[in-house]
Amino acid sequence: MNWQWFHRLGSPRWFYEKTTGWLPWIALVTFSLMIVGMVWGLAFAPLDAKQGNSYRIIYLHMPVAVLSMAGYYAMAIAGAVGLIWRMKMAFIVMVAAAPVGAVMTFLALVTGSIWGKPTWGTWWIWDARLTSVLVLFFLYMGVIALQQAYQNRDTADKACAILSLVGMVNIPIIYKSVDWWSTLHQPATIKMVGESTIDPSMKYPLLIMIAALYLFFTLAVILYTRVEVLRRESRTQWVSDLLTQAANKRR
Amino acid sequence: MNFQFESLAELLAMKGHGPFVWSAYSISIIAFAYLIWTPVKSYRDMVNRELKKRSREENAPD
Amino acid sequence: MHPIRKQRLMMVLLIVIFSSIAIGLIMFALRENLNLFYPPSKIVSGEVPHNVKIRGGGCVKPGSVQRSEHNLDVNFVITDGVADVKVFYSGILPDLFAEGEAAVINGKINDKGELEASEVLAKHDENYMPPEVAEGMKQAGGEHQKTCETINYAR
Repeated sequence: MNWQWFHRLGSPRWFYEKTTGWLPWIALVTFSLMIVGMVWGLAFAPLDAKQGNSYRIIYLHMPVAVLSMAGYYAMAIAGAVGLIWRMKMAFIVMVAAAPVGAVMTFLALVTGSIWGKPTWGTWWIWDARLTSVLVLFFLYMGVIALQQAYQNRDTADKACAILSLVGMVNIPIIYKSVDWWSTLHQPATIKMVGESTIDPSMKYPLLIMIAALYLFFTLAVILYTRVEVLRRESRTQWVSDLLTQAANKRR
Repeated sequence: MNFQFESLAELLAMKGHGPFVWSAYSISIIAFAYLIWTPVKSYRDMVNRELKKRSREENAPD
Repeated sequence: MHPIRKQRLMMVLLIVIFSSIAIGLIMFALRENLNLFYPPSKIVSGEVPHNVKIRGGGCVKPGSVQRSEHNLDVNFVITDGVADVKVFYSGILPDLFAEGEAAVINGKINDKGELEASEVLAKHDENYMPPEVAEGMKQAGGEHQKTCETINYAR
């Protein structure tokens, strides 16, 4: 097997230069999907028989909740790759994924809360699902704080990777919490096995929004990664040249 | 697939659920914008620092 | 794989495995306490303490909801198919509260074994469908949430 791509991926410079060309395309597809999904979900999907229009929050709530969990896996796996192969790039991606994942989790909590008021009758309840997602938010915040706490970058990276790995057990707990315990939160609508319990006319915008949020997460992580690359490689010639060029253009 | 509302006002009101739905969407859009804007801002700051450094070098007495 | 990387991989796996075991044991110890509410069968069997704040939850028995004509007082029966508990409440019910739907009730069990509620929350299900589809299902005999549908109310 040819491992060249893997080693190239490990080069911050290669990553930075490669992604420069990708960004506008990813952004274009992301925002087109997002606009289509949102407009479809808000104005064209039929209203729900029981919940009326309030269910339209699902088109944001579920995709950001999916990404809050998928993003955590991405962060933890990047941390593991960094720990095992001591790959610079892996740690940079891990550090970049933390704030994006934290915002996704925050949004899952906030949109869920806004949805809860008109349907359940409360903004918040300490059931197993909501509490475990709050723990997820604190895990992300922990990784962000830990990164700032150490003077030495290598130590900080390793500590963050270990915290991410320890926290990984929370993801299956969040996912299964609604099946294992009695909660106010309802079980999953889109199931990994078996049929979804949402009418097809309401499902398509949901699938579009899930795809849009996956792409958005990728886009945001690439942007954060690029800045972190420049920060960490600031003493190298190529970064210095790149910034000089950008400064020249600005004048 | 049809437009589900009689008018724009009805779309905004959403039969009383408007404040909930629209606040959820606006908060999310603001958060998405924040995630894009923050790294772009950091990049600009880096370029600005480079500019400042250069003007200091140029103005420095020989 | 390089032996030193293999060693690091083992370390990573050990971290994941041991943290999972630790959290798993904590959750095993807490298992009952992680439930949000008691089902009616546990309330009736006397497993739930009286006169302390607890949460009960179940399906609202069709035909059991009685509203006062003068004020916001309401009483209804919740069931899990095994046992019934009568609930008294005074206040505004959430929009999604309905017969044949699930509800979670915050309150105290009095000495008669009835639930005096201070808060009633509606627990909706994971099904979403347009009104026309719901109408069609109603005619086919499936009106209520799945969890509440399988209950035999006519006992």
